[in-house]
Amino acid sequence: MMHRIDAEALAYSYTSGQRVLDDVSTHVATGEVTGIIGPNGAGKSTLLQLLCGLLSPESGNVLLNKSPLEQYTDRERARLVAYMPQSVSPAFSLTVREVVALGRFPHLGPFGSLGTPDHEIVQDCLGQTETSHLATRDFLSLSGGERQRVLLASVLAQEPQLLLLDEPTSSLDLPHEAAFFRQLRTLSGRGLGIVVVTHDINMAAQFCDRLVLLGKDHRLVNQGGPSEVLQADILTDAYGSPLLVGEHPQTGGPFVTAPVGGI
Amino acid sequence: MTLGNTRFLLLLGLVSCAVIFTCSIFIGTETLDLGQAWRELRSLTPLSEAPTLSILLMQRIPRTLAAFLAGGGLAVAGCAFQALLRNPLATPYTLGVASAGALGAWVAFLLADVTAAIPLLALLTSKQVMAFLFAGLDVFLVYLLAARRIHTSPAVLLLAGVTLGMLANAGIMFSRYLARPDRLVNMDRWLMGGVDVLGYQPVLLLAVGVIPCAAVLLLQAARYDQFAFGTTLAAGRGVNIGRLQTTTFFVGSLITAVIVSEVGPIGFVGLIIPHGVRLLTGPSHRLLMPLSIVAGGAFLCACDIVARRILPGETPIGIITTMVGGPVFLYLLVRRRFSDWNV
Repeated sequence: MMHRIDAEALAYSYTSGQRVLDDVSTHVATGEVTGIIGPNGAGKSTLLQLLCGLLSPESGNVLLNKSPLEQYTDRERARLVAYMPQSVSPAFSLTVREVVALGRFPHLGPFGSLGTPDHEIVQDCLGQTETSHLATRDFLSLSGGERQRVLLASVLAQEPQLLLLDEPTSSLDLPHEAAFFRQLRTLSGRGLGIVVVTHDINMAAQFCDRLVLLGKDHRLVNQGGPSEVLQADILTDAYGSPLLVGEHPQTGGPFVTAPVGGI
Repeated sequence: MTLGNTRFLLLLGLVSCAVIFTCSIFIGTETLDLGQAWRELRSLTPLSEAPTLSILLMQRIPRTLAAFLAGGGLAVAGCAFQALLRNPLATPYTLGVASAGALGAWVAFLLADVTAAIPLLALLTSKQVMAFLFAGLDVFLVYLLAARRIHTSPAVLLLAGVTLGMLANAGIMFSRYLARPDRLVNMDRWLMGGVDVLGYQPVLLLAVGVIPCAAVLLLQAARYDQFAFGTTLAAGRGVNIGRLQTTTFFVGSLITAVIVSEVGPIGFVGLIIPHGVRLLTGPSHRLLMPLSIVAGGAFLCACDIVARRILPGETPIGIITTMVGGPVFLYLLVRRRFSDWNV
């Protein structure tokens, strides 16, 4: 079954009244990787949190499988849509296995006891993210790349249909970043819907099926396939600063960089 | 933590609790002669003419039950506050809840003369209700401070709690100044904390307040576990953050207020018990919280034995728990990492 989230004319302001998102309509669905890109402060993370109901829009609607998101209970929603925040700081030390097991929460009863199937799912998620060998390690002792993989395993343990990630690779070096995106592609190949907020336009170009480009004015500038969205004039408009588009040395797809000394 | 280990710990906890419980019933200013009590029971002597049985039934057993309920309640409230504020030093006492509750109960003492004539008003200004109102106000103020910034440092929260506690204490001082001198002795004794209850009415009030509240907090254990990684991840997992905060602050204040109004402000149980139990069980609240109830109850029973038997006279129990808890608190404060807490 196909699962999707539709956003209709979303607007959101901080309590101070400052507008951070204005009239954004888009959709995300299972089986594809959607990248949300745009300049700092465009409202990318806000859009992501609106899509999974962590924030409520000031106006507009979010529909999960054609039904308003607020009609779902928190747990029902969490069984369909998982959210991975940009960074986490655990309050106390937990082993990697315990961290991943926390992801089972929306499937558990009132006492939160894990059954045999739950333990099997946790093991499977450790395997999928190649973190099985870390299972008994203290989460706080892991490197940045390992932490992100474990965190990914923990949201996978939620067994969602759609997985929303907020800048998951911002603290990773380039090879680790590429590896993480390859992992996301693999997951989408298994039918999971991926939505990822990223600053790295080139990673988005290389690994996303669809891009949603937000502009400095907090509005939707363009959405569609990478070669459709990543054009010099569109990007320059969105970022309010000139950007150059060339070709990726290997794939020939769009490759974005900044000009020397400005134009 | 393996299942075998867990079962062993649970068993150990329950056995030591039972031992302390039994000791608490038989050790006292006068050692109880069980045979004598049994003979008095067999002969169906009226309680007024059966001193040993009377001590057992009307003093030792209610006292032990009261100590157990109060200790367990304070410990589980400590667990809940620590989980919610993600801070190992947050307890009913360090957040000022206990002092505020004491001020509430104190105000009720003072109002008693005025309101006694009007039944409804007397109920509204009863010790329990006033203690809860003041404790709730304190928690609300601390929460406002905590919610204002996402990363409120432990120091800010603690200072806020300590400051509110000092304010409450100033209020208590003021009302002592206003109180009739002949009442001061009783009021002062209450302020030092004590589980030296007579009969079952205080025990019943404690049980009615503590047991349902503790049950509600225990049911949140899996949600507190989710808080380990912060509110956004927990919310994404389907934890209703607002509801959990409201429930915890409300129920945590209620449980503290009920305990404070019955046995006075007893400090540090909510700090040292969850900390000690966590060393054994790890951070999972599903294990930590029930074991903290048992350990907290046993700890207060043990302190009460010390109060009755080892120290001269009947030392107020609040003095003992603070003398034990204060150094532990300092020890936690000066260490950079709180054992398994990442603060």
